Amino acid sequence: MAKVLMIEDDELLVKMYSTKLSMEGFEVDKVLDGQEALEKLEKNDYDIILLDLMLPKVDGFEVLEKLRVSSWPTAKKPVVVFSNLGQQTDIDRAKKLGANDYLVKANLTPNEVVEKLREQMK
Amino acid sequence: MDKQKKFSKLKNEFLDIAAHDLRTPMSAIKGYVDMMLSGDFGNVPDKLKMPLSEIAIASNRMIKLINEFLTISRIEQGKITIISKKINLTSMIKSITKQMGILAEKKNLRFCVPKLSKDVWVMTDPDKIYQVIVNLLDNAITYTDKGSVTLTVKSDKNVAVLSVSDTGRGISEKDQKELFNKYHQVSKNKKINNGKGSGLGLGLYISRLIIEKCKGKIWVESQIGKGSKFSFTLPLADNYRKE
Repeated sequence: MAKVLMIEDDELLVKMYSTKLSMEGFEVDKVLDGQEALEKLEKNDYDIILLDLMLPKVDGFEVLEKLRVSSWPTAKKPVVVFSNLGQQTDIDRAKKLGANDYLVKANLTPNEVVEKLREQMK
Repeated sequence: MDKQKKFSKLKNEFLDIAAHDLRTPMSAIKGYVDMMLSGDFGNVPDKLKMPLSEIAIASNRMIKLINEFLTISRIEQGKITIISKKINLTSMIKSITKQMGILAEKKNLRFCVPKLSKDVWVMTDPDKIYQVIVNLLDNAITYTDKGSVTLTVKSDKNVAVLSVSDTGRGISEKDQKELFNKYHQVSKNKKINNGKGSGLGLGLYISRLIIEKCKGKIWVESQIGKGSKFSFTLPLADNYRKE
């Protein structure tokens, strides 16, 4: 069972996506802010990370940056950014910091998001 | 003038916040409907399939509208960066053709893209121009019930001219004058294409803003009952060779 860390502060979306991901056979761990995300990433291992950018305490860009320079087991794991910030500058910045993919939340269905996660895990 | 600028700034800031906050609940509506239709919560009774599909279509329209408001707000505030790089317009058209061809096929429309003997290189922002071309093709397919949609590219002095023609219902002269303005809506008939043809007329306004920022021009030629042709220009890149 693939283990995913969902880093998302909107509880409405957390509930929907954790339900969907569980239905699709993922083991889901979830956190609501960037600080908690860093703590989880340091102490645990995941197969894939779903990362929002607009987060309380520490934003998604900083989480990604710190993850990639760390020596944690999760340092090189695939990170799929999942945000409503859709400007090319945001996409470029995330990719430069090491994001494997960038999904604009409002444009995708849960089925499409699951597909994108699976693509990164191949 | 100061008051107007201040009002415009406040309006755009409000749009940014509202659009951002509206997107999340819309994502939830769209998401749960998608899950229901996929059978994630059990078999969907036949009588519920149609209303659920309608909710999906309506929520997609809302999301599209919110995205368009955001785009306009950002362009008008100067927050959108327009980059200028050499791009192969011919290659871009090939990739757009694949996805739009499928849409045209669903409506039994011919989708024609004459082959060019040489590649056309332009100086422009690839993501923004991609958006404009998709918007024009999407409109042409939406507003054409039978016949064809054709995409052509040619060079004319220092510019490339891209045109999207259709055999649709055409646009009156009166509507043509207002077409690229904000909130213009050609047809008030909300039954067109399951309501896809209705809604605020933001797509062409956004296309005009983008083309103008890319140092081009956009215009339409049309007659009622005879179809429409939307064209825009882009500056040619230095190494373009004429056919």
